[in-house]
Amino acid sequence: MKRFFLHLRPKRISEEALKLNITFGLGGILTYLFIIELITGIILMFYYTPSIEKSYFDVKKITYIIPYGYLVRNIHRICGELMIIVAFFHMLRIVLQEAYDTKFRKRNWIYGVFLFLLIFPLNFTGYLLPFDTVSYWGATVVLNVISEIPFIGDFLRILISGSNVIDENVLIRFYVYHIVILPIIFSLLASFHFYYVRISNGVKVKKLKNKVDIFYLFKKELIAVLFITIIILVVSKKFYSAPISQYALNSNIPEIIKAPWYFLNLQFLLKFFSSNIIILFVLSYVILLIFYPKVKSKILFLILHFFIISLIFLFR
Amino acid sequence: MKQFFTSRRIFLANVLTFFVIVIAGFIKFLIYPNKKGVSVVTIDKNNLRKGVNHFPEYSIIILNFDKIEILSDICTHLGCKVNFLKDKNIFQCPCHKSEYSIYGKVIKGPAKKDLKKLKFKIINNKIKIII
Repeated sequence: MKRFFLHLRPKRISEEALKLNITFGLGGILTYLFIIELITGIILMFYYTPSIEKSYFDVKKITYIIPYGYLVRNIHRICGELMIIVAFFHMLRIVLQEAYDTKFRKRNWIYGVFLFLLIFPLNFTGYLLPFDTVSYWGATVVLNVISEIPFIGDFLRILISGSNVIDENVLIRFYVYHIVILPIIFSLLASFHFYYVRISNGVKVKKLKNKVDIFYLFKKELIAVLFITIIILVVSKKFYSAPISQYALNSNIPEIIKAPWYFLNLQFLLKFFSSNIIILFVLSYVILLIFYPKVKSKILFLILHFFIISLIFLFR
Repeated sequence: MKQFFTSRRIFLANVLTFFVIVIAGFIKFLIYPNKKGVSVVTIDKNNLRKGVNHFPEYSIIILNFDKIEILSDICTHLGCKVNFLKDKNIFQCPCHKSEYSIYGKVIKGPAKKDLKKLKFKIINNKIKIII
């Protein structure tokens, strides 16, 4: 146990592992984004109530009335979406450099896959919380896809969401998943992820020569953190605003309902395939990711992800 | 009590049983039945227009042609509410673009079943619909 905590943040680290062009610091960026999510999430919790009457108007209040509320909300949203992109590039880096050569690294790949997959439910459960029309129907579609699984579908749906329609039960459960359960699982998995990075002698480097003091790393980290913070602040102040549409329970129906961009490919596929086939697609994708170090085919990985990403842009 | 600790196998079996009971109880806790009661909507027949009357707040569509027919406006594909497009005279689902004719028959798209017909009664010019 002591070993575990010592390895999370060791006193000395190899100098080679600090070269930027080996890892591009993507894992570190992800950790930093997750910390930002935690802080902004806690700040947002001061004004948010999970209730179908209040939550939409609370989010509106945060966005338009409370000073800097829009900024906190924008940062929270943009960092959540950035986590998907950065995590994908992190995975791509591992694949291209074949950094799953030892026993520990193979095990660590599986932790990484689960962390990557956990980002999607984290984003999705947060997506319902403003309770506007788009998120309402998005959640309806996803829960209906789950309840169409043969034999266990309805049971699973009730187990996850607690109701057959989107109501207060679903909102409160998604809130609990979003603020308690998923972040705890995420941070546990992430600490094991770091532990395995350390006991497999850091990131993939051929020879380990010099070891430098952790303070050297700390200085570099500080500069990176400042740099990323400034970028995120500028982007979320000037170029990005987290969307909010109409109140979910009013009688207007929007003309088009678009999923968030990271689910647009699934929404596009749902136009042509039945929901059970989509679930099979997703499951086989997950299994392929988990057993990728045994397959070791970069071309397969690249082509598959090229298709998945291009489906996002095909949706109109 | 002494028997509980006698062998490792019995001890583990008992611990396992305990956890199974706790988990079963927790699942029972999570799937507390949340049944919706049957609700009845009453609408005055004189208020209806000729043609399609869409009431999204009750999620019903009343077709007022020669005789009255009532449809649910929930898309049979994955449960979004359909829109009535006046210029094309069709119902369109905003989520995956399924299209239904004015009588609720599927024209296009991922949906396979027609819009659900609802039961209703007319008493003294008032339509009572069971949802």
